[in-house]
Order: sequence, then structure tokens, then C-alpha cells
Amino acid sequence: MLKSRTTVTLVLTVVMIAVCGQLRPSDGRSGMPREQFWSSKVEWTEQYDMVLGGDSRTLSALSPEVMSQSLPGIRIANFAFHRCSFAEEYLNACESILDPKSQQPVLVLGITPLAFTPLAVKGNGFIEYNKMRTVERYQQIWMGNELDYLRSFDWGHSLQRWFESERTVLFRDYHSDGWCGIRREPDDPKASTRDYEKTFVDNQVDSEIINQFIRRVNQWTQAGIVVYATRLPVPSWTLERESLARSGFDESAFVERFEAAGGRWLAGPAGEYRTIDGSHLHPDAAIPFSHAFATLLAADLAAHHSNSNSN
Amino acid sequence: MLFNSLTFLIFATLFFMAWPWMRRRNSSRWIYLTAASFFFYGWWDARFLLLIIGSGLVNFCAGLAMERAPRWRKLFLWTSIVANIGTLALFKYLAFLVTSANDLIGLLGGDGRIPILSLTLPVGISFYTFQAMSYVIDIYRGQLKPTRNILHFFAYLAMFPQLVAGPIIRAAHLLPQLTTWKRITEKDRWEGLKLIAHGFFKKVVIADNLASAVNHAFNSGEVYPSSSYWWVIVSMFAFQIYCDFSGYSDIARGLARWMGYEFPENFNHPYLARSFKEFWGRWHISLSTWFQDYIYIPLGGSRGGALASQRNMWITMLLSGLWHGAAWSFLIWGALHAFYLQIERITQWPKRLGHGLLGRLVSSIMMLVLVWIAWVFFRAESLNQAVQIVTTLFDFSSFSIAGIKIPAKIALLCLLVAVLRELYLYTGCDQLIPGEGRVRAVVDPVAVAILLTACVYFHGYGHAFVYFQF
Repeated sequence: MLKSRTTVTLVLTVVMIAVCGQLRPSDGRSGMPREQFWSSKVEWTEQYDMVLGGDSRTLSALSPEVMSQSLPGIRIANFAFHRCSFAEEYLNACESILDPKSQQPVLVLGITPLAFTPLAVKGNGFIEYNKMRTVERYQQIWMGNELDYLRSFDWGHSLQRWFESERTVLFRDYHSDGWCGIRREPDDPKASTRDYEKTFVDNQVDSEIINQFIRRVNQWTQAGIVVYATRLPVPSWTLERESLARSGFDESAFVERFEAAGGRWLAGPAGEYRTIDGSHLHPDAAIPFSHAFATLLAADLAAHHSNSNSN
Repeated sequence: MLFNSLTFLIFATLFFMAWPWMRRRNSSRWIYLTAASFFFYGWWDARFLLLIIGSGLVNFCAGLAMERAPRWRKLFLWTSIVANIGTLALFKYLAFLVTSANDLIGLLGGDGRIPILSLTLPVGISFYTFQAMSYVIDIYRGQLKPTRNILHFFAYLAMFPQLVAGPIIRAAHLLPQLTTWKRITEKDRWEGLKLIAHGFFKKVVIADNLASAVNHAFNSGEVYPSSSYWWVIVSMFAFQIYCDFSGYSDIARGLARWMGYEFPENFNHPYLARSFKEFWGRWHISLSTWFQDYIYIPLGGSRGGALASQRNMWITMLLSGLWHGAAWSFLIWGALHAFYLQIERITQWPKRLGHGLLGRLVSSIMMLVLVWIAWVFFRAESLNQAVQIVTTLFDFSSFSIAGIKIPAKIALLCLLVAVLRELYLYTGCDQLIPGEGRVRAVVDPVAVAILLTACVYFHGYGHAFVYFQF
């Protein structure tokens, strides 16, 4: 036994790892492995007709699979990232995954004041994954399931479920089209208001980021890309936390400049939609919202095409 | 590539698959080791390779030149030292010096500013530069014969297990090992595996889990006004840096053992020291002995009277602080330790206190408190923050640790594990089950397998090794 102690230990380790992987407690994830989801997104190539961009609000609100029911024949991708800002690097990436041979390339950007703040630029989820070495990203893409099997136990998730009296737990469902359904048990529609109390303190919307964004919109529309922007549905108390007085974001002035640059502002479908925290749509709300939004989008695109043809 | 990455696992597997054949002859051994090490180093950034090759060539040639033209030994020595220090100064200290100069200009009321040239700091430059300098200096002193084979030299200088974060290996220790072939026994493999398992456990389970709480506290921009909170956070940092760094050293030693080589121990339970002299004999041993042999003793060491001895000690400790980073906070950290050593030398307080159990306990606690205070300056984002934290540490009006969230509770658990582990190993509890008996034959493999499994499933968010920034 002593003569082969090392081999015995290594074999025992492999067995333990396999067994522990099977016994892992649930950590609220389903669908694709998380790292594979994000790594794949960053590696998407120019293959889409319509790209949905923005931060986690867009990430959770718009399901390309559902949208394509109202927009048949259009290849749609949700390219939103957590904590994403409209930094130049990200806007370049949004454009880069549009198929240059597409009959009508479309960008749909979910606007939040936070995406125009310096804090969002600093902690940008897209940039974080884009900075990874390509080899590491492809390890996640090719061996995503195997690496996910070996991922660390989510202590925080487990401890919260066992010990915290509130037991607020997040569940994420990752889809290959880029949509991430986020559930929270229990829902806490006022959660974001507590976060947003501090978010815009010393972190106001930066006019230079908006200027850069508008210049980009102008370039895109000149190049024949149809650019849409929209505010995704949130409760009134969240809107108040994101108001001009608190965040420095003047929506009407922004819409004016956006449309002057050639963009098309799309007011979202009417109605109240359930959020998990006052900011992110519950998957049960994201599905009908995606459907309704896509219907509006299809109608507007058709109108835009007929106007273009008559001109 | 980080040790705790899939890329390194693939690299190491491929390396060790071919190693038994490649190590049989000197030529193939050195070529293979050098090529693998350059590949490992170049993975970080291919440009860094030019630097290590250039630095290596200068030192290799200086070593040979000293042997062939002994009259000019001093010239070759100083040429290589200037080249080494110059490279280090350019990449590591230039921005700091220029920033400090600009601050001084501003303070004196001047308007002009010197432009700052910001260069990427090559990973491991402090380590391999010191390793190269020790080679040349030992040749100059007649303690080492230079190697005539450049691949032999690069196999020593660039050996991948210790290249980016030490230990700093003396040429006299490793060069001879690289010329001999000895069978790698099961004992080597087993000892190597234990070192690797312990090293990874310390790094990915303890250090990385502690890092999340520590980074959150220090990077938040505000100093939470609670004494007990900061004692906990500073304790976490103390174990984070210890486990991170000693973990890396253990992994390096384990990998070397699998190759058939022995690296010296680099950490010996430093937090159990009862004096600062003892602490520096236990913490980053390869660096402290380097400074002792190549700075302190050449300056005169303890010879030349008390005043000269203190001066030499201060210079050594300040340089040691500066080695860790180009910032005033590291200089202050070094100065604090110099101050502690000075007081210790003058008052001999550890000897006076260290009688009986109570005395030893008191001296241990004092040591920890003083070392912890110094760590605040090492880790803080700014001098201002460091001062605020130290002030808060001793403001006993607030003991609240309210608001510690789940990640910090996990870090608390890891801190407890780290402390218990130290005590377990230091007190020899791991030797309670005797020798090579049947019980150990079962317990040891199970224990190591558990450690390795814990590394997979209980690792923290992947942080780079702390000492990579040096």
C-alpha cells in the first residue's frame, strides 16, 4: 500500500470528486452552465439580424426565442450583460455580431440611467468576460458541462437557504440565445429601491457617455442599421429612484437627441409586469412582455420599411 | 498561467508525461525544462520572455567573464548588478519615483510635471532578478563556479515552479541538482503530492475565500467604524497573504519534488514566532536570507558597533519593504518592522517576557498585534486609509460586527480553519498517529484526497496569487 500510496490517493481523489459532484446541493442554476453562457456570448460572431443590448434588465426581460414568434425569419440574440454600460467597447461588440449580409440589421438597446454612469463603465460585465484569454473562454465553451460539474459549491446560496430568516434566493436559467430568466424567492419588488438609494450618490449619469452613445447611434443609422431604444418596464418607485433629480438622466432630452441621430424610440407595451426586485422582470412576465414587445417592434419595422421604400 | 487553472493542469500533465524520459540526460533535461519554463512564462505575455532571456544572458555572461578574467571581476559584477537593478527600477519603480517627484514639485509650489511612463510590470521580475543576482554575487565571492552551459543556467533561472513567486533558490543549491539524475522514489511522489495538496488548499480554499471579505472591506472606500470588525478583517488579511504565499511555495516545492528536486522551505509557521527576529526566520525565508546574505552582511551586519548594526538593519528592512512594491505604504511596512526589530534589540522584551506559559502567551499575542498593525499598511489602498484603520482598531467604543454578510461568514469559517490548521501542524498533532503503520497508510491518503476534493468544491472566487504583483 505504501509503495503505491500516491496512485491510491489520486484514484481516491477522483472518486471523491465524482461523488461530491453528484451530491452537490442545488444552487439555483439551470439551463446552460453559467460560465459557458457568458463565454459563448462574448465569442458570438456576425450571425444575427437583430441584437438586443443593455444591462441585466434587458438580459432578464427579452427572450429571443419568444420574440422570434412575432418576428419570423429574423435571427435574434440577447447580448445583454450584468452591470453593462454603453461603453465604446460594448457598443462595438453589439455591432460586430450583426450579420453584414443581413437584409435589415437591427439593434435594440434597453436604456437604463445606470448604464450611462461611470460606475457601470468601471464594473462592466461584458468587459470582464472580454478580458479573459480566448483559450480560457473556449475551455468554458467546449468543456462547459464538465467544468460546471467541478464548480465550487455555492456556500452563500446554501447558507442563505439554511440559516437566513429571510431566505432570499436567486435562481438563474441560462439560455443559449442569451436570455437569462431570473427568479427570486420570495419576490421582493422593493429590493431595488434599497440598492438605488446609494447607486446614484457620487455616480450621476455622465453626459460624455451619452454623447459618445449618440454619436454611435448616428454612425449606425448612417450605415443602414435600424437602431431602437426603449425603457423596459419597472414599477413607479423604481422610476422615481432613477428620475432626473436623483440620477441626472433626462429621458425626454435623451429621446430627442436619440431620434435626431436617426434612432427610433419605442415605448414599450402598456401594462404592469411582475418584477422580482423592482428592476428585473420575472420570467413569467418576461415571456408575455417579449411577445408584446416583439409585436410592437414588428409593426414599427414594417412601417419603417414601407416609409423607406416609398422614399 | 495560474497554478489553479485548467490550462496549468493540462500543461503540467503533458510536462510530467514526458519528464521521465527527458530528464535522463543533462542536455535533454535542460532543453526540456527551459523550453517548458519559457512556455509557462510566455503564456502570461510573450514580451516578458525577452526580458528574462536578456536578463539571463547578462548574468550568465557576467559569471563566465568573472571566471575567465578575474582581474575584472568587480567590473563584471557591478555591470550585472546595475543591469539587474536598472531593469527592476525601470519596470517597477520608475512610475513611483516620478509620481513622488511630481508630488514634491507640487508641494514646493512648482507647476511643472515630469511625464509618467507607465510600463506593465513583468510577472515575477523581482524574484528572478534576485535569483540571478545571487548567482553572480556567489561567483564573485568564490562560493560558486559558473556554469558553462547556457541551458543549464536558464533551467535554473527560469524553472517554472518557482519562477513567478519564488522561493528564491540559490544557484549553489539548485545547479548541482540539475546536473544529477536520481530516481524519483515513491517517497518523492508522496511528499510532493502532500505539498501540492496542502498548497492548493491554503491558496484556493483559505486565501481565496478570505480575499473576498478582505477586498470588500478595503476597497469599499470607507472605513467601517468598528474596532472588532477591523481586527477580524486584518486577521483575515494576515492569513490570506500567509496562505496565498506559503500555498504557492508549497505547490512549487511539491512540483519540484515530482521532478526530483528539493526546494528549501519558505515558511515555517511565522505567526507562532515569539520575537521579530524569529518571525523573520520563519516568514519568506528565501527572501529574508537573501537580504541577510547580500545586503545586511555586506553592509557590515552586526559588526561595527550598535549604531552601525541598527543602521544596517534599517537599510535592509526598508529595502525589503520596497522590494514588495513601489509605494510609500510598503516602505512604511518595512520601516515598522525595522522599528519593531530595533525596540526588540534594545529592550530584549521577548527574552524578558518569554518565561513561563503566561509570558510566552503574552509575547505571542504582542507579536501578532504588532505584525497585524504592519499588515494594515501593507494592504491599505492609501496611507490615509491605513491610518484610519489603525485608529479604528484601537477605538474600543464600537464592537459591532453587524452587517457582516454571508461571504464574510464563509471567510470567518476559513479563518478559523486556517488558525486551527496552524496550531494542529505546529503542535505536532499530525504525528499523533505513528510513523508508517497501517493506520497512517489509510488515514494519509484519505486526508490528502479530502484536501484535494475540498480544493475543487470549496474554492473561493479565483484571485491571482498576491505575490504576483511583486
